[in-house]
Amino acid sequence: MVNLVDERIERAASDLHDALRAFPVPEPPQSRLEPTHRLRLGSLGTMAAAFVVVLLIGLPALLLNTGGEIRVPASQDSVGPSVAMSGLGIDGPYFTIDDPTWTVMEAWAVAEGDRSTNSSYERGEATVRIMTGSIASELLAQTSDYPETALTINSTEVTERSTSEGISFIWTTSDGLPVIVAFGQMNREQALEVSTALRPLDVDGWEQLSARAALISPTLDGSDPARTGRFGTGGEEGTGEWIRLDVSEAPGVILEMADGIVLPPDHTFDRLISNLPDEPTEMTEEGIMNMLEFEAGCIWTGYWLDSVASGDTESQKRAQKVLDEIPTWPALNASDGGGVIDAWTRNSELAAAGDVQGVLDNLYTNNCTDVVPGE
Amino acid sequence: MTADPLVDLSVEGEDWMPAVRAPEPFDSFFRREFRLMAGLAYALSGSQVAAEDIAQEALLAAYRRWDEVGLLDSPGGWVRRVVANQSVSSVRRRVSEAKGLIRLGLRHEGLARPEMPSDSEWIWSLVRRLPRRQAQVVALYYFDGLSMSEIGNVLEISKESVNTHLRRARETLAGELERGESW
Repeated sequence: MVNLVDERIERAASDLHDALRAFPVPEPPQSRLEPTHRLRLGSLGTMAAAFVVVLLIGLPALLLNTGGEIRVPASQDSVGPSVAMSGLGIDGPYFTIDDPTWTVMEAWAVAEGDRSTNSSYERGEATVRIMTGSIASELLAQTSDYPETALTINSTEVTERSTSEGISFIWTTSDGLPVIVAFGQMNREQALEVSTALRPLDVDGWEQLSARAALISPTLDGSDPARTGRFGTGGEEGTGEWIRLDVSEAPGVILEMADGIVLPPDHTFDRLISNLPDEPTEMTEEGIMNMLEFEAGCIWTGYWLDSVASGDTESQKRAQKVLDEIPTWPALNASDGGGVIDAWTRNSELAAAGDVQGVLDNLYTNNCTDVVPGE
Repeated sequence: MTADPLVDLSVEGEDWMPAVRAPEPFDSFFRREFRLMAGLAYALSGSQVAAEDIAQEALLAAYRRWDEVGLLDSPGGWVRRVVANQSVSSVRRRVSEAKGLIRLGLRHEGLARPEMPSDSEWIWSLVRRLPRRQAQVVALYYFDGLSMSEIGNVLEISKESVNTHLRRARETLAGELERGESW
């Protein structure tokens, strides 16, 4: 029988694929919303952007009506008069849960200026959904979960209904807007507690909430793995694994790869780590090794300059030995098109000749200026 | 599941500049995935209006973070997870239907359905009656053609759990089919 089930569902799946041809494919949303802008340090725009960020964080807090108290059923058995309330729902249709432990998952209105909104929040397994206006009306009119009697509520009463997904509180705002708050995976006591954090928002506050909702995702948190499990296909990119440079794991992975690269005493790859991109970026292991060897070359050259300046001949000799080896380092050689190894060979020769100015000039050419003493 | 969405942006002739990759253009991702996402949502929700809305909202959420979602191993898997989770929520389905009705100026009776043989429509209605996880696994396995591992990644559960859900779903459906056909 199970094989028959396979056949039947496969046929149903095939029929659904056929039927999908009738589904209109809308235009992609690029004209509706631009992707997130990226801030770049060192520009005048950064100051303006920082100012905007301060506004974005501060404004919703100012706009929240923290004095309001949600109306909730007075007792477990009551579908009648609510307990104390104030300040809620006078302007509708925008509401939120004013509690940072809840993550906003979605927040949208049917259309600009419409009084129908839908927003949802999650905290662990628990969910809250707030629906207003036409959406709430349609829901109340259509479904057996929200029976017709629920529509008899008024601005001083709250109706409670148990649905297949949990408890809902239903009420009308003082300007006549129907509102449903549905609580999933919560008992009544928990739902009542969450209700006390419900707050009205004005349109700007709502827009900020919508923007925040756009930033959530099931997997995009700081724990994204740096190792992607995908590998380069050869050529310039190499055959090593692609590594995400912008995730929190990246420094650990990079420093692990740097394990065999010896640096002068008291020197680290901190500069390189602190300059990792914030934007989504991937690099193959070959690229990272190249970056590490290049950075190590810069650091050893800086160490050589320091030792000359301090008259520490022992350190200078030690640095010279490494500078002589740099042109043979594998990752630098693997990606060399002719210019890089030449530059490091010249660096070694200039150092051996004691040409401090030549080494300094070469550092500038190699873009190693951060390790130049006094820079 | 889908083509590798990353595009090689390495620069020819740059000696030591490492290769960097960027997400696939969102447009092509959207056009390739929309019907599949709508189909997955329909299989799980049974409402075309809700299916289209859930697919659009999920893809819009991906678009808003495309510079991150697009770089995931499977951007399609990310969107599938959103769609699969939204579609099995009866409240979410009704919200989408209500939104569609308001937008289209329709009444509930006027909602469109994909044209499918009644037997297939019935099979999907049986799938929708399964426990949520089982329904998701069935839709992803049979409709989307994903492997057990891929389904595990989409739903963030182990491959073994996927296997168990699928086995139980098949058993339940076998019983339902037998009962249905003996009527």
